[in-house]
Amino acid sequence: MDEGAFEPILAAAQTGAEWALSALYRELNPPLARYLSTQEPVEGEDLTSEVWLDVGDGLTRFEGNERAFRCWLFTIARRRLIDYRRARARRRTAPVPLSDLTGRPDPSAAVAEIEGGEALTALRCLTKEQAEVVLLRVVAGLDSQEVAAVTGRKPGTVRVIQKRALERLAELVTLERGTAVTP
Amino acid sequence: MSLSRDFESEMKRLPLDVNTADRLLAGAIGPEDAPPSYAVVANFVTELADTTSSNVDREEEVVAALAIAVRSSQTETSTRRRRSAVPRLKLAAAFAVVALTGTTSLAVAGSLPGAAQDIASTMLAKVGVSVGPNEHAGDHPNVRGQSGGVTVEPASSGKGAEVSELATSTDLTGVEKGAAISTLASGGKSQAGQHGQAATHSAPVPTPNAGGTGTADTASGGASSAGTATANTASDGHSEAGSANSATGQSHRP
Repeated sequence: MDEGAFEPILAAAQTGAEWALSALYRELNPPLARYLSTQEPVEGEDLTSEVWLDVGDGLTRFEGNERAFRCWLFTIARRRLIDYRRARARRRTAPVPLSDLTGRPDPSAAVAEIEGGEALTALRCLTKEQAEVVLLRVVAGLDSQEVAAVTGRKPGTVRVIQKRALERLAELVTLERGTAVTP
Repeated sequence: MSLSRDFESEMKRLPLDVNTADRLLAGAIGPEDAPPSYAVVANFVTELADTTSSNVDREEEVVAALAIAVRSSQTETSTRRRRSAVPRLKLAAAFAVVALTGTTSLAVAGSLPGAAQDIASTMLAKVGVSVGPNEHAGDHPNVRGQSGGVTVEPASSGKGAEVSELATSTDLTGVEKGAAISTLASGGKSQAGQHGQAATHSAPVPTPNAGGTGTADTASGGASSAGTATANTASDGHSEAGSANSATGQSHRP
């Protein structure tokens, strides 16, 4: 979004103007959907819609610039994701016979295939916190200070996590390709 | 060796400094400029950052729901503000009613202090309510803005001024001056200056002589000598003998 364009759009969006809400959605939904569906391939789309509804509830109280809005949006998304995972852990599930599952595609593989896969596949080899930090940095477009604010960690900790994530990715790729590595 | 150990042993450490990692993730380092073995990671970052393939098919649906949510939250906010103001208004109105009723009742009963009763009767008379005179005011002032019952004399009059006048104008000096001021200040009760006079009679006991014996005889009216004689008589002369023994340096054991 152009510099200076955000404030009037936000002001209009806070009154419920659909053109302004649409502008915000177009700008921020792609990274938001990518962030959520990468971590929860099955429920990602529903989670994205729920995040937007939460944004709608709190939009009139929001104050800040575009960066602050982006941080706020991904803070909501992260909390939604945590809530969803907690609820899923508590939820009792009825066992389904394996025979009923034959022939159904693996949803995460489908997402990887649709969204250009290799990077997302590699991302799944990272720990959850490493994947989260990398996604917030690369997909959400936040810097390490903003990621620290969103995740409630110290900036130094975030920088160490992202360093280890990249080292791990390089090691995995190297291993996969059988490339000779110079120490 | 386990499978995981095999896997770990095959992995090579590819150290990366924190700043380079930060710049790689920010997209500031392209695959060409990346450190050895990190060109692939730079490609990975570029691929991951490209979200153009993400669909916005549900835009209309989501934006419509978003607009409804924003408008309803606006309504809720204004309702919440109105709700929070209502209890305060109710409380203030109730307080005003209680204060007005209470004051009017006291005024009608004539129980307010004098000045307050005057004001209340004046105000109530304007609205056609006749209020009787103040009967229970007691020592409260009847005039607004003044305290009643206490008269303050000017500083130039009174006993203090008299004492001060005497102290500065008298020709007396020393003990006589102090006695005069004290007597005036105390209303004649003070006896200041009288104890400073020389004694008019001598002490009842004369000044002791050097030996002290004479003093004892004199003071006891001769009872001291009599006591010595009585002791000698009662001890068949042993008392005197003891004294003699003692005087000659012999010890005497009873």
